[in-house]
Amino acid sequence: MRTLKFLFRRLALSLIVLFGLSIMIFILGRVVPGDPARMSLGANAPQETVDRMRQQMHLDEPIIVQYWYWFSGIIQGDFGKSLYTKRPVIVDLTEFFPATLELVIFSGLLMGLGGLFLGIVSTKFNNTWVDNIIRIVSYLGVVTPSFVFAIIFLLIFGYLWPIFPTMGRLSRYLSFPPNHTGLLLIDSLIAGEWETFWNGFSHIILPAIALALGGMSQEARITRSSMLDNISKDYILSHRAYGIPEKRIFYKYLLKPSLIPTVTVFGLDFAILFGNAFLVEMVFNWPGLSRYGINVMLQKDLNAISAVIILLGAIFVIMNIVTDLVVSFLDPRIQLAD
Amino acid sequence: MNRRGKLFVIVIAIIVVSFLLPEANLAYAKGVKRDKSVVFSAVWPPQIDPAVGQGFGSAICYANIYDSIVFPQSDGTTTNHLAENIIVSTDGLIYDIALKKGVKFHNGDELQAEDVVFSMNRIKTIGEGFGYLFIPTVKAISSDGPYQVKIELNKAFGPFLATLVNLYILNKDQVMANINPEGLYGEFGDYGKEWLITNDAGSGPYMVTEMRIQEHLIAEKFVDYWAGFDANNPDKFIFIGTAEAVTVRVMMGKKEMEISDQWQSEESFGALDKIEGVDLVKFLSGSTLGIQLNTKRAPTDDVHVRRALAYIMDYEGILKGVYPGASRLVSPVSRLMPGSDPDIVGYETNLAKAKAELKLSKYYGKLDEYPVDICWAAEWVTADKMALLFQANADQIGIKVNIAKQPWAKMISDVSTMETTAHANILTIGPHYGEAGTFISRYLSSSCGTWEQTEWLQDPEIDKMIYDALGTVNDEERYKKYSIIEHKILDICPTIFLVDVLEKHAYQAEYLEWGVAGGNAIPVQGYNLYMRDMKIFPERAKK
Repeated sequence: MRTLKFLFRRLALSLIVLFGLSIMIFILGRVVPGDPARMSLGANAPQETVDRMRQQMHLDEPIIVQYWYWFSGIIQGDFGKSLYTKRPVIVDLTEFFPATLELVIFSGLLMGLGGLFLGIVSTKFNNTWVDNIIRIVSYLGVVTPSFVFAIIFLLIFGYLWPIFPTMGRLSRYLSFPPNHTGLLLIDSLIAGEWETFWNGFSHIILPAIALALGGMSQEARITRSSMLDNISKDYILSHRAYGIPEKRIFYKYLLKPSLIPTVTVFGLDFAILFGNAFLVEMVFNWPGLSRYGINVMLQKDLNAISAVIILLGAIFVIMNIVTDLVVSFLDPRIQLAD
Repeated sequence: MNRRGKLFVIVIAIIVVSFLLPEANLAYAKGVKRDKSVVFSAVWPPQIDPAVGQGFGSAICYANIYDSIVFPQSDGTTTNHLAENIIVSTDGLIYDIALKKGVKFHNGDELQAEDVVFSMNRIKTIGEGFGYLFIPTVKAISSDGPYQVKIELNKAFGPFLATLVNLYILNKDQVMANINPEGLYGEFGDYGKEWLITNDAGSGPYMVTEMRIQEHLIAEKFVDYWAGFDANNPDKFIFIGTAEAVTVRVMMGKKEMEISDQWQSEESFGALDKIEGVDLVKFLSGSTLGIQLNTKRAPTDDVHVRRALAYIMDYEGILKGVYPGASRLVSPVSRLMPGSDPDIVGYETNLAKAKAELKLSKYYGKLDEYPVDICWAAEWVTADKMALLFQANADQIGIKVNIAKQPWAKMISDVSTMETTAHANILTIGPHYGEAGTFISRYLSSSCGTWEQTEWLQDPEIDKMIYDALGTVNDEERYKKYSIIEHKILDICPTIFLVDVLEKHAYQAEYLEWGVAGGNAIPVQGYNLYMRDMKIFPERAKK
């Protein structure tokens, strides 16, 4: 009951946050210089054509009216037309979001599991050469932007030792399986197309690792420091005194509470991956939402920009709620209602 | 399982995966190499609807997917393409076009006069893309039987045939069968705009088989193409949307890409050139690069200040340091264009002349009070060097230059009024059609307020001269008039002409024969990547 109440309250607050976000991005979109209609049609388009498009986009109306048209459209799932792709933004989102989602899920898995694994190993081998190596690698991971990893991977595994494909989601000689979820790997499994699945899988490896390394390093450091903080606490000493096996103490009584900061940071990192993926998507020609987001920003495609930001905002909100729920599960003392 | 056992299993798993992946990858590689495909990258995404797009990527698609009435040649002239014959009335107002018979659209329908009429009306009504070429000039278009088209102009327009290169013919029936009735164009619905985002309705040598926005466009040879193919023309082309230097380099190195985009940095081109089998090709693009001076703001409103700036500019520095190997632009017109005056002499760097001009200026002695702002699009990295060079050069004659680069969107907004237009704007101007008139006409007062004319010349005499020249149907006479205008513009110096822009690409010279590499560049956007001008020999590619 308490959890439901918490969920309800957070969802209500999230809607307010998203509403605020919608106002902010709408105003920002109108404040930045450049006429979106002119930019869409090109410098040579006759003024009448530009005016007609301005009328279609309600750009000739007062800003409040513009907002109303825009907001009421969003509520009905109509984000307007993209000036970049010339088709409804919702069509773009449904095409590009699953590509990024698939990439981010893979990266998230690598980030979470890899970070946890490295953190645990670091703690176990605290202040040994293993810990030192993981520390150095983690620092490198934290300070290096994901696109640098992408470029290095591309050169190494795409060129010098070409064991991975480097472009897109699927080789051009294969066709995409029937679309059920938009997630290529899932769709290819549903269709029983193993070659497509394997090919898609080999395509996702490099971008997913490149995207995951930064967060993975951060998670590893946080897990390690959190576990080392807890390892000297009285309750661990008392467990030892009771003769509970070391393995059980380590994985059950030490790891679980130590995961709280890791999970909190992971939740944010996971959401950030959606925004950070754009350079990796550019390098690997990955047709995802992040790359779309950057392209539409460069084109001052207001409808698409707003849709992408609202979608990313919603992802952040959802990840925050999920993180809170997981944290409360890890440590029931943390009261959701508070 | 003990710890060593687990480790052993992990190592074995990694080895198995790394052996399996190359297998998957090999199939991927085979997929590219098996056929005679040409893969290239350019500006993305292309709009493949000929009434919507006009950018470089779109133009490549139109050239390959659609046919036009006339076709551009490397000398800038046009030849009949879909037209069997064109008769122009003596007053230059009526164009009677007889169409070739037996031309097939990709769906098998025959291309007829009503398709030409439909395509012209469509592009004029929609008003996007190349519509601006036809809206002011074409009064009416009609068909007389299945193979005869009549175009009536509002007023005589000498370069009209050159503009017809950009009228691409769509299959009327196919488009109308795919309209969204809830569109903006009455009985024509959306005029097929939605459908044409990912489909084509053309008759060109290649037909769209897959268009994945943000990924690639694949077009395959249209076997029934009326003009036929050479046996070694590419079977298909794949247009991808990445210009990331490292991606392009890897793809070129793996022979997964045949032609790079033209926007790679000099360093990147250098690296591409070192790849075995890859060569660089350079040709005049028909675009011009210059510094446009606002003639209505002090101190650049004074012709002597403008001339002084033109004389002080270090042209050699630009050609050596900024655009190595490029060619100097001396007048408003790219020398690639028919109608450009080959004998014209432009400004050369000359400190003495610059100082002498400055002495004649009304601002002489008080230039400290009139700093010059120079602006360019922040996204254009190379322009930084030119702006700094301009600043250093102007400093030699006591003109203070403020650097004021802006995002492109802001720059567009600024140049819309005379007062907010910077004193100097570094800009590249591309041709709208393959003829000198395209560059001359940008000095018309009607172009002011756009990035194509930030000079705010507004000179009624020049307007009159330009209109007179454009209305002259006889080519020779028109070119003479262009020459007079070029001299006049040089004299009043609203622009510092810098570079006749080169287009540069890396390509797989080992197994791709490309017409432009032999010096046959075509001065119309998109046509240098016309696939029928290419021959591919995959067997020549070394592993």
